Amino acid sequence: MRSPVNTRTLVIVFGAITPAFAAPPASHVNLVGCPVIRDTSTVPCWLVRHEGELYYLGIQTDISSPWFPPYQGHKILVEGVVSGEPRICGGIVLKPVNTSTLPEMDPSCNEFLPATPEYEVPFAPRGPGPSKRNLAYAAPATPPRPVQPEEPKPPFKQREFTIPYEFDAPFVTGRTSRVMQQAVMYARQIDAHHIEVTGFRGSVQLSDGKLFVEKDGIARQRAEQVGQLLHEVGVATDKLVVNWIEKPAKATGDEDFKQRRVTMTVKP
Amino acid sequence: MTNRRLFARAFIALALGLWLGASGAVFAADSVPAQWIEPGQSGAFPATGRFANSWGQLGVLSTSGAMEMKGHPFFSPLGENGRACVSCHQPAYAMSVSAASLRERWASTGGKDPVFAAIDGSNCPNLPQDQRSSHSLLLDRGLFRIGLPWPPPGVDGKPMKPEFTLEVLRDPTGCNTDSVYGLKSGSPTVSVYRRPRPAANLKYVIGPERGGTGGGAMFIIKNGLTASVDPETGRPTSMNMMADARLPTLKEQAKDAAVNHLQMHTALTGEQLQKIVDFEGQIYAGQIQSREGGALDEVDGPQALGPKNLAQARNGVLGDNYANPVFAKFEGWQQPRAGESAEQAAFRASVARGNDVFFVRPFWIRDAMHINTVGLGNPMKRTCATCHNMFMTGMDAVAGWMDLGTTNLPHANDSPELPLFKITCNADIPPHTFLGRVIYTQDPGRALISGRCNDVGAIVEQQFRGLAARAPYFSNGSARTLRELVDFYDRRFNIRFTETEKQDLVNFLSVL
Repeated sequence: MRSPVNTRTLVIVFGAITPAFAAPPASHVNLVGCPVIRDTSTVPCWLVRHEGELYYLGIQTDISSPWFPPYQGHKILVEGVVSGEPRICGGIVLKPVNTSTLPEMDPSCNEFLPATPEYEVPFAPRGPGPSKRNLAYAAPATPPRPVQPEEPKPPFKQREFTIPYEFDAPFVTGRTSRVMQQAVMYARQIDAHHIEVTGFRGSVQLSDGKLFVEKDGIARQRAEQVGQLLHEVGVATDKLVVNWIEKPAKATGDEDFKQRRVTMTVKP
Repeated sequence: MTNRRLFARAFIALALGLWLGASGAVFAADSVPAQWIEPGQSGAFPATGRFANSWGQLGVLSTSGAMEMKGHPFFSPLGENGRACVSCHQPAYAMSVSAASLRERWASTGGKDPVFAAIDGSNCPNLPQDQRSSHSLLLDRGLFRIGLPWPPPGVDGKPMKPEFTLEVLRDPTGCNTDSVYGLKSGSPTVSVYRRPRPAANLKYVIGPERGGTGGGAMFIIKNGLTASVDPETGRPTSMNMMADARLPTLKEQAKDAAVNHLQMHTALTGEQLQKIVDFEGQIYAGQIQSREGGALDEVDGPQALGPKNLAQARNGVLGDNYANPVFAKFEGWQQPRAGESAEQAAFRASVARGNDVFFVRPFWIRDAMHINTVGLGNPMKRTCATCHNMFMTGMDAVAGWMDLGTTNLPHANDSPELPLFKITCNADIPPHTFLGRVIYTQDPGRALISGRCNDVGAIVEQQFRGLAARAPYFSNGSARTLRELVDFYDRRFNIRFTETEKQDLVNFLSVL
């Protein structure tokens, strides 16, 4: 990908995948497995099967949901915390939970459990059909509008905006692009001197002791795409600095997903 | 029939339509050729018109009233091939054209109508133009050739580096491998074949601005990329107008069509552009009379039917909810009403059931790019209205390209008459989420514009209106009838509609 903006590599280090001997906190479940669907009389439950156990991830709702279900036909990375709540849909409840659909296809990940009276989700804010309002959560009048930042007042402050990513995902998504909009709007409001974009590459400490590292070069891909998109919406090239850091930060097994990010620092 | 007789019949029909005024007139109900408006034709385009089709009648409403066609740029031959905008956007066919109408036009003009111009009305310009076989895709499937530069231009206007390579595996028209028109020509061009979209009900198609992005945002709600902008205003556009969303506004589309479809060698003037856009923006088309169901524009009838309701309703409204159901409600048709024949009541009840099937019957939607990937998971348990969610048209309320499988294998209908491309996604990007790194497609769709692997075969949803007048369906004309359209979905998503559900859906679609 060509970058139209100033690029400088802070650190380019091949983050080799090495065996790790640490483990996440005991309450954490970090695993790679196949997503499982359990149908109900309303919306489906999403689970993951791992070493003979089922873990509950969430239910299908709509695009206003804080959690998006993964894709069957792929393995998924799950980074969750055992909540201690009663099982839902037969699975140990992970809450909070972060899921990443891994890019490569795996047709074997297609387990479907039919609906049975034993498993229901009475808490579902929306069934499989039309919404009773507009969307399941928050119920805006139309598809969700980008959050409008408050009008800043001088002296203007440096602000950092963070775009999260799924594991090994190099590109922004519709949902995460809203963060870019916020950054651009803030930069315009304060007539920012420049925006510094920095891409990061993550790693995850899995529960089985292995270290799961994102592919090399992804920090650069992320940063360059964000730089390109900011440029396309009008941020001048001389106001953009694009960096990337290919060396993953140390994984601990606790919220490692926060490593997978691009930051946009808007500087007055 | 000679052109002169044809012209006379059309003029009489149009004059009659004007005379009958707001009550509407049937345009030569039993004579399809007489409904064809030729470029340069004089006469009045009526305020309201009715055009016969096999399901009943289509209604067309011009909210600005009747107007003279002679001299109007929409109806005037502006380029070297003698076509006008109306050549491919005929009111009788919901401001599109049907394959049947094109066949009749071929027969009545000996293939001389400018709609058959070599540039895109034939399978390839290098073919002998006097032979029917050279126009087979247009005549059999209603498909015009769309030649697009490959690689596509990026935002800076320079050729971009696509995320994939494109290889021609099958080239039955010869155009993609032609030394003048093909991918290895001096101006590398990829040819795909698509249906013209209705130039009616366009307030739903082009606006409001939040359409493409979900809230006036700079980025497309489905994929996070930058939305195309109106070059005049700088504002994001709906990206819902064309099959591949390649042009942002009606004006830009008109400019492009003048060059690439009409073969105009000078630019449209500002006045011409404005007249075309103004005309298109006030035309509404929808079925108005059902052969079995009777009048569709009754005052106490369903609120979504007929062109008048289309003209009056709000645009840009999300309809996948009970507050604003996509096609409103058909409650009044669920039970027989006074004055209805048994046949009419039965048909209307079927339509009402069809609307229910469309709106509330869940099924599993699986492996559909830009559907499953927008936040509901793969598979997701939803209804037709999940994707066909825009109030009154059934389009997507946000930028509507998605891969239903109409052009991508393995789901696309077998079509040896269409090109087949092999797409190989580059190693430095993730493979296509549901099709992997190698994809076989009859039309790469949006990917020919975006250069993105995940856009291969993604086609912008069309409006559901005037369907009875403009078969065949889907961008590649792969469904010859409404029943084939329903059958495609049934097969693609393993829905297992009952026979009654299928017929109800067909009847429902026929009255839109």
